[in-house]
This record gives sequence, C-alpha cells and structure tokens, in this order.
Amino acid sequence: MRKRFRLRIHEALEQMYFLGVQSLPIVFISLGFVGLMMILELAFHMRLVLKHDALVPAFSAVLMVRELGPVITCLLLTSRIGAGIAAEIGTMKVTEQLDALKMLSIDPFDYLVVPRWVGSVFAAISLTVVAIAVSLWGGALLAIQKLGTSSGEYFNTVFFFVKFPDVIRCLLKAAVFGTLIPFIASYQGFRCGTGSAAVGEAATQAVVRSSLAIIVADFVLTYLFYAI
Amino acid sequence: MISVKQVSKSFGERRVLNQITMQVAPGECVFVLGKSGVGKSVLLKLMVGLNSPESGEIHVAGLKVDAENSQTLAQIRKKCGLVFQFPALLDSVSVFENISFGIRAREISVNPSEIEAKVREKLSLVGLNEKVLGKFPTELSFSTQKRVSIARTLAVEPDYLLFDEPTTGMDPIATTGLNHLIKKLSQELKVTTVVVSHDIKSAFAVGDRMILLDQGQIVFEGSAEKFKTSTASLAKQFQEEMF
Amino acid sequence: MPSNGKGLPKEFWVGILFCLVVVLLIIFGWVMGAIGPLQSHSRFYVLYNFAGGIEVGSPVRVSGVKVGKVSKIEFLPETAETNQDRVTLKLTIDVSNKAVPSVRQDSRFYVNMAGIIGEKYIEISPGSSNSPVVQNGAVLRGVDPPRIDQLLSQGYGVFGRIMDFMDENEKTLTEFLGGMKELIADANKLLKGRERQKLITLIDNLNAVTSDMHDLSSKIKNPETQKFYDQIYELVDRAHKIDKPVIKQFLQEEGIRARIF
Repeated sequence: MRKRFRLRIHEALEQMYFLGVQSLPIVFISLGFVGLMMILELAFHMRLVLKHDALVPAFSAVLMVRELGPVITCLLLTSRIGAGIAAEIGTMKVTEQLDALKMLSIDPFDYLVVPRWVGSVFAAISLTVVAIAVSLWGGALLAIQKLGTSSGEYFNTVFFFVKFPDVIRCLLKAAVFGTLIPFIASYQGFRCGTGSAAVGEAATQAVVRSSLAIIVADFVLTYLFYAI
Repeated sequence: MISVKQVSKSFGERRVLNQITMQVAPGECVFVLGKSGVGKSVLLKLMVGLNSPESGEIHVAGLKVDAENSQTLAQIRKKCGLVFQFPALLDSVSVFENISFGIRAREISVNPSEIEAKVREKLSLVGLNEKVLGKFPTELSFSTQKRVSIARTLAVEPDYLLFDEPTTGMDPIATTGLNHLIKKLSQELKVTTVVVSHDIKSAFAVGDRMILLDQGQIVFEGSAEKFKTSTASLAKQFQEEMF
Repeated sequence: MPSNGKGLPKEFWVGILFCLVVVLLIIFGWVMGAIGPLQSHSRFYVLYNFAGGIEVGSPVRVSGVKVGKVSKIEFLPETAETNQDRVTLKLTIDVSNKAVPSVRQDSRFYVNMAGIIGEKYIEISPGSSNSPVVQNGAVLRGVDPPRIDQLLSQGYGVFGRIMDFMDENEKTLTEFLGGMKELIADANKLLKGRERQKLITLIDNLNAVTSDMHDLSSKIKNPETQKFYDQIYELVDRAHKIDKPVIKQFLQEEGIRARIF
C-alpha cells in the first residue's frame, strides 16, 4: 500500500507539472488580454448607457472573479489537456497497455485517472488564481492609462465589489471544472474503440464534452452560489 | 492447473470460440496454434479475466475466473503473467520503471537494491544489456520492446505464463533464445505455460502439447509427434509450413 | 524523479507555482479584508438603533482615514444592556491599533456615505484629549443616522391627516369660507358707499376729542396743578385725623356741649 501511494504521488507531481506549470504561459497571455479587453469593452458600454466610467474596474473585476476567471482558464486547460488525456488513455487501450497494467496488479484508474485528477484540480485552482491576478493587474494598467483612474481608486472600487468569499467560490468552481476535465477525458479514453481513428474521435469528444460540461456546470454553480 | 470448460465467445455476429474445452496441467507447456483471428488471443484474455466468456467456465489454480469478482480476479492475476502480442509497454516511463512496476505493485520486493538486481537479472534472461534500462520504450526497436515486455512479465515471477505471439517480429536468433527460455522456465521452475502462436517451429521446439484451433473449435490436440501424423487439413497446412 | 532537462526538477517548479498561488491568495485575502495581521487590531462594540446600510466588512474611518472594518452585526434581544435607551443593534468593529489613541470616550460614531458608489462607512470623530482613550472591548453608543425614510413617512403622515380633516369637514369649511366672503363684501360696500362721508366726519370728530383730552392731561401734569394736588392731599390728611375725640375736645375748648353722632 505504501509503495503504491508513493507511486501515485510521483505520478501526481508529474501531472501537476505538466498540467499546471506548463499551462502558465497560455493562461498568462490569454487572461491578461481578456482583462484588457474587458476594460475597453465595459468602458464603452458604461459611457454609452451611464455616461460615466467610474465603475468599469469594479464590473470587470466582478465578472472576472465570478465567471470568466475560472471558466476561460478551465476551457483553455481543456483544450490543452482534454484531448491529450483521452488520446493517451485511448492509445494505451488500443496498444493493450491498460491490460498490461491490470496484469501487473495496477488499477488503471488509480494509476492514470487519480494523478490526472489531482494534477488537473491543482492546475485549475492555481491557474485561476494566477489568471485573476494577471487580469486585475492588466486591467489596472489599462484603466490608469486609458480611463485616468488612479491605482488606489482602481483597487478601492474593485475590492469594494469583490469580496473574499467570491474568490473562495471562484476557486470552488475551478476545482469542479478541474475535476470534470480529467474524468470526462479519461472516460472517453477508456471507452475508446480500436484503431487510430477511434483515438482521434475520443480526443475530439473529450474536448467537446468537457467544454460543454464546464459551461453547464458554471451555470449550475453560479445559480447555487448567487441565485438561491 | 488451467481448466477451460465449454467456453464460447462472440464479437457481434462472429463467434470466435465455440464450446472450447481444454486443460493445461501444472508445469506443462501447451502451444495453441491457429491462423490469425481465430480467437487464440481471446482465449488467453479469458483465462485472466480481461474478457468474459458468454458461456462456460474457466478455472485457474482452482479459482473461478469471474470478471465481476475483483478479489478472486486479483488473486488469479497475481499468479499469472501475460506477454502481449504487442509490447504494451508504458510509454511514459523508462524501461527500468516498466520492469520494476510489477515488482513494486505486487510487493514482491520493497528494497530498491533488490528490485534493481531482479530487473537486471530478468533483462539478461531476455538477452538485453543494461544500456536500455534508462531508455524510454519509444526509443527502442520493436523486437527490443518485445523482449522488455517479456522481462516485465517474468519479473513478477508468475506460476502461470501466458504468451501471445511471443516470437512475432523477432529475429531468428532472438526467437531461438526465447524458445530456450520458455523451455527452461517450464522444465526447471515448473511454470505452467500457454503459448499462443502461429510459429510451428517454436511449437515443435518447445511445446509439450499442441492444440490447433480452427473456426472456433479445437481441430487437433496432442503431442508434436502426433501432430506430424495428423490428418486434419489445417494441421497439414501447418506441416507444409514447417518442412 | 527525472529532471525536465533544464536542470531544475519538476518538483521545484510545482513548488514555485504552489507558493505563488498561496502568496496571491494571501494578498487577495488581505486587500479584501478577509484576513489581517494578527493582534494589530482593537475591538469595540458600538450600539445603534438604526445602522443606515452598514454591512459586515464596511470600512471604519477615523478623521476620514480607513483604519478598520465592521466585523460583525448582531441583533440584541429586547432587554439590551444599556443605561440610556433601548438599542437593537450591536456592531463589532475592529480598529487598527495605530488609530486607537484617537478614539476617546467622547468620540462619536457616525454612519456616513462616501463616493459615487454610495459606500457606507462608520466615521469615528476623534474625541477630546482630556477624555480617556477607549479600551479594547468597550461598548459604546453610536450616533444613529437620520432616517430620511422615516422623516419622509412622518411628513406623509401629517399631510395625510390634514387631508383627512379637510375631507371630513368639507361642508363646515365651505360655509365658513362663504361667511367670510360675505363679511368682507359687506365691509367693502360700507367703505365704498354713501355712508363714506359720515364715516370720515366721525373719524374727524374723534380726532378732535382725543386732541382735547391730550391738552387736558398735559395741563394736569404742570407744577401749578401739582401744588394744588399737594394742598388737597394735606387737607385730606388733616381731615382724616379729625375723629370723634378731637372734635369733642375742640367743642369743649369752645364751651359748646354737643352730642356727636
């Protein structure tokens, strides 16, 4: 038991590195630009309707923490790892590696899914936190340059609207999405048919279904957190 | 002791095994021969519960193979080693990891130096040197991968050894070496061996007994000597192949 | 574990990412006021009847500088601990220790509103320097903010009552107003009609009488008259002294015998 547990920690670390650390650049760039875009877009809307843009930083931050931060990050994560997980497990099934694992008394679920799950949840949470930090920071830079807000004013308005429980809920969302990705992708891999076409199909389905699941789960969670 | 009783298995419309009954005695080395796609590999997988039969029963070491009963299945698998037709090595880890996995998982040994010694021993049994240990499976040739795969199976020291096309894709020298190994394991360590193959030469060289499968049924069963004189049409085709 | 080829093992990078995330979360928690450095705050309890939109997490300012936040809002049971009046709310506020010396026993706790987003906060007016500094855990009475809503509703109440009164007494009021109108019309007619000259003469005569009266009273006030008054006074005084024995004595001295009264 002890050995097997160590084996899994090793695997989990591998996955945390692959899913978390190696996804940092894409999340950094994407969410940074999303942060910038939101400032511009909301400034436009606010000026159009309210003739005033003082609440732009607050609204963009609220939207970022409550929705876009975890959702965009996890959709990016899906596109990066969903196909990979499904294809890897699918290939292992096609090449009898799964059977080989069973014959070596290793549970493929323990060996393949659990570490990916740990890695994916770790990656989803870490990347979401980084994403929010990056988008707030990017938004601050643009708001100061473009809207003439001072940094103090920016963060005051932002943190009047965004409370710490929002961040906790946001991380809960990330954890749920981070769970959905490897489970859906692994499921697609395990039920993969024979041949390389089937592996490709499994990979595509993994991305499509994980993305769909994330968007639906986001609605459900938002409803549970804020609408009840 | 492996006993197969009236086992049938279909894939969709195609019935690959039809009421198969056979037995493998302890320490015996049985070759299951037949053309490609007659269900030889399926038979092996049924023996370790990787597939379930539609009807019939299989017992290994007195335990009933039942895909539903995971505890018994785990016990059976602990006694068995299966060498797959394709190497089926885990591509994400090194050769050393691949071979030592089973040793760790089955808790045959927990001492790192002991594990390493075992890995080296099994590697030399399949005629590979230690240079491959740090490499990843994808860096190796097919025949080397296959030998690593055999080493991995031997590393868990099974009582029952099941080979699925062990010599396919191997050069003649390696084939001869493997045949010697199988014979040695069977004779010296009294390992019960089932080899699924279409390599008639190996069968003659190693096998105690031969079973010939055709269209889901056993068309011949008996020793090598008997096989040579068999009148079954498929046996004749195999004989022609041999000589 | 094998290295990733760049020299540093994967554990290192995973660890770096983990630390980064923890640090970011601590920063978030800190700026959002969910966590603060331990023991640098003092805690006071402020009692209100009406909190005017204050929420848990609302800032607390001393002289306009943010120094803490409202950490808890409780509803007190009917029998609240206060010696003045019945209060219903108990706000727990945490104030940074650097601002505590400014909070005195006579400091006042106002509920204010700031900024265009209408952020509500508690403003603590610094107390006088001879008043003692408020101790940690003290219970203080806050200044209830004006209830604009209540004022409005009271105003509506008064207005409503006026309306009711007018509705009820509509007939009387109409009659009253009609009477007033007639009265004014008659007076007007009187002043404008034939009697106008008589009225003017009457007023002139009255004028003459008052003028004569004025002369008379001024004559009375001159020194001659004063002397005359004095003499009369003296006379009266003497006359007052003439009682029964005095008259008897006078008559006896004159040799007249008389029966008096």
